[in-house]
Amino acid sequence: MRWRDLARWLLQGPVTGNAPQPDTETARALRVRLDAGARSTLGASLAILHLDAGSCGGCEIELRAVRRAVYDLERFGVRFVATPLHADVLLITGPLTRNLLEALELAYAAMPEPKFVVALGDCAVDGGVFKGSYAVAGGVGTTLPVDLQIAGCPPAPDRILAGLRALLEANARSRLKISSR
Amino acid sequence: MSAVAVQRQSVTHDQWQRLARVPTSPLLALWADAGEVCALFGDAGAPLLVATCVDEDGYPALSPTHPAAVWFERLVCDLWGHVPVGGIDARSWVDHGTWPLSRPLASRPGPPRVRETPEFSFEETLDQVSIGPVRGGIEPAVHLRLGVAGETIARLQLRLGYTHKGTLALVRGKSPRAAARFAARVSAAATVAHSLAFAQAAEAASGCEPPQRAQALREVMLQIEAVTATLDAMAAMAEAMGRDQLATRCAWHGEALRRASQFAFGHRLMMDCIVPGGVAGDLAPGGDAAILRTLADLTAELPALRLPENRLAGLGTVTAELAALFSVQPGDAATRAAHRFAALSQQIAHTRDALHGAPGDGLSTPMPTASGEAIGWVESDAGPVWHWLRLEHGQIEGAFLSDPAWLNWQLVEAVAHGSAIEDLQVLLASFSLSASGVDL
Repeated sequence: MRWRDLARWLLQGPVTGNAPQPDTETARALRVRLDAGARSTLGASLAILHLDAGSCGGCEIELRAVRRAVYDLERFGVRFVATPLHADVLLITGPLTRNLLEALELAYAAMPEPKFVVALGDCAVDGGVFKGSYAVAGGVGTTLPVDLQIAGCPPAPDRILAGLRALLEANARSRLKISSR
Repeated sequence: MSAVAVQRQSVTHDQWQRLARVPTSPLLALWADAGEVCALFGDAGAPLLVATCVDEDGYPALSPTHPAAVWFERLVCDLWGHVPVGGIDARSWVDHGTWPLSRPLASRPGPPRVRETPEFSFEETLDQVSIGPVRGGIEPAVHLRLGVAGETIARLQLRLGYTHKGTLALVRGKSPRAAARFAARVSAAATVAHSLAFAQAAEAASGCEPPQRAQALREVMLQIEAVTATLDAMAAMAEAMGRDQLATRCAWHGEALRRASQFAFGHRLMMDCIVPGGVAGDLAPGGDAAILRTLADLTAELPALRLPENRLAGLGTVTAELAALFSVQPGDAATRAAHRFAALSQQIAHTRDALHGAPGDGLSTPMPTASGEAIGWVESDAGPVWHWLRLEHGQIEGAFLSDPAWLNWQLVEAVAHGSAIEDLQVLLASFSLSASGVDL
């Protein structure tokens, strides 16, 4: 009878047994191997959130080129994400218009540590040609600590790629440092 | 491409309103200049510039009869402080209450505006989905508010102005040469078209004729930009539809052409290569061959670059009525894709023609110190790019720099209803949209 099976199962408790302790020796060996080799490669991945802070669209044209097949940013482990909650890097284009200040601050606050800030293009670096306008704060540095500046109006794709790869390398090294501590 | 010297017709408030009631030709823009509000009607062939004075109450609104006037009336109110009496939408436009002043272009700017939460009006039965201004991906900063019923978009409302950089204030009081950098950065997707429209307006207003070779090189740059812009738009659509292979091929040809432009003109987007009075530099030796080679590769692959149109059918249909109001082509996303594809081979042919007909020498003439008023008009891949300038003794006293995005954002808002939410990206990609182009 069904009800009898049911009652037996209820009384007898779960069948899943207790888990054994991890083999400490194996875990130690694996950790050494990861630290030595894989971490510098696996740790070298970055999630980028692009934020248009008033760009004319030029930096975006070149950024799209960097993402697409010819420059293929993703082969270096860099990908674009849609929310600050998933982002390691806030990549900002445009002279930082006052109308986007709040959005920028909210996005930065929502990012997990450690957060990198990249100012892409002359406008993001210091306001570019729009410096001094009533509507412009004048560069990302006026509001956030900037880790990397990529100048140019707009910067060519290979320049963007070189900049982001440098960030990637620095990131991998800093993670190595954290893990060996 | 052409420049039109315009005669501004000052009319009384009565005549102004009567003009608005007779929908003879589409309204292109409203702006203010020297105590008057200007309206531009018509098209490239015969633009009609009408102005009416602003008294202490404001000026009669055109928006009750001309829906296309709404956004411009809000812009004029935010930048110059002129109130459209009887206007149908009194919300702010570019002034989000973050500037250190208000009415920046008025003779006496005001104190900062009080910050307010943006208002959207939707029927209560609809759920609201809010996207942007930080949208992820590589997208311009706009806020989209969708009123949705289930998985279907019932209404789309936009909030723009996030990328407002104060361009109209920055060009004021400068010589056309000094201000050209701002014109080139209204919207980078059409930087050549904007530089050209600006240069033509400045030249027509001051009675200056650029050398023949400069004019020919301008045409070459304009056509190259048209090809790359079309390829970019096709790649964006293919990407939104999940056709990555096609997107890659379109983007690859675009990239090849940008490299050729770097070689031939010294800049991948040819930004700042056109200046009032002529061009900034000559075509590099071998530049024409590089461009022609790239175009030959593109032509060879052209038949394979056609977008599949099945998923686009019925998406974002511009009705005949709407098309007449904004003077654009009617049709759905499939029509727009087909139109782009057809335009591409023409643009390639035009680039070749322009390259073959670049005779003579002389790259630039100095700009005379003159006074005048003119419109420079250039057809870009996304629609007309036109600049209106008023010069006084060689300095810009008034300017309005118009991008086709004005038109295209309004169309998106009008045609989004009925689309599935998952098709939103395809819908947006089927129009050429620039935030900076309208935000100024």
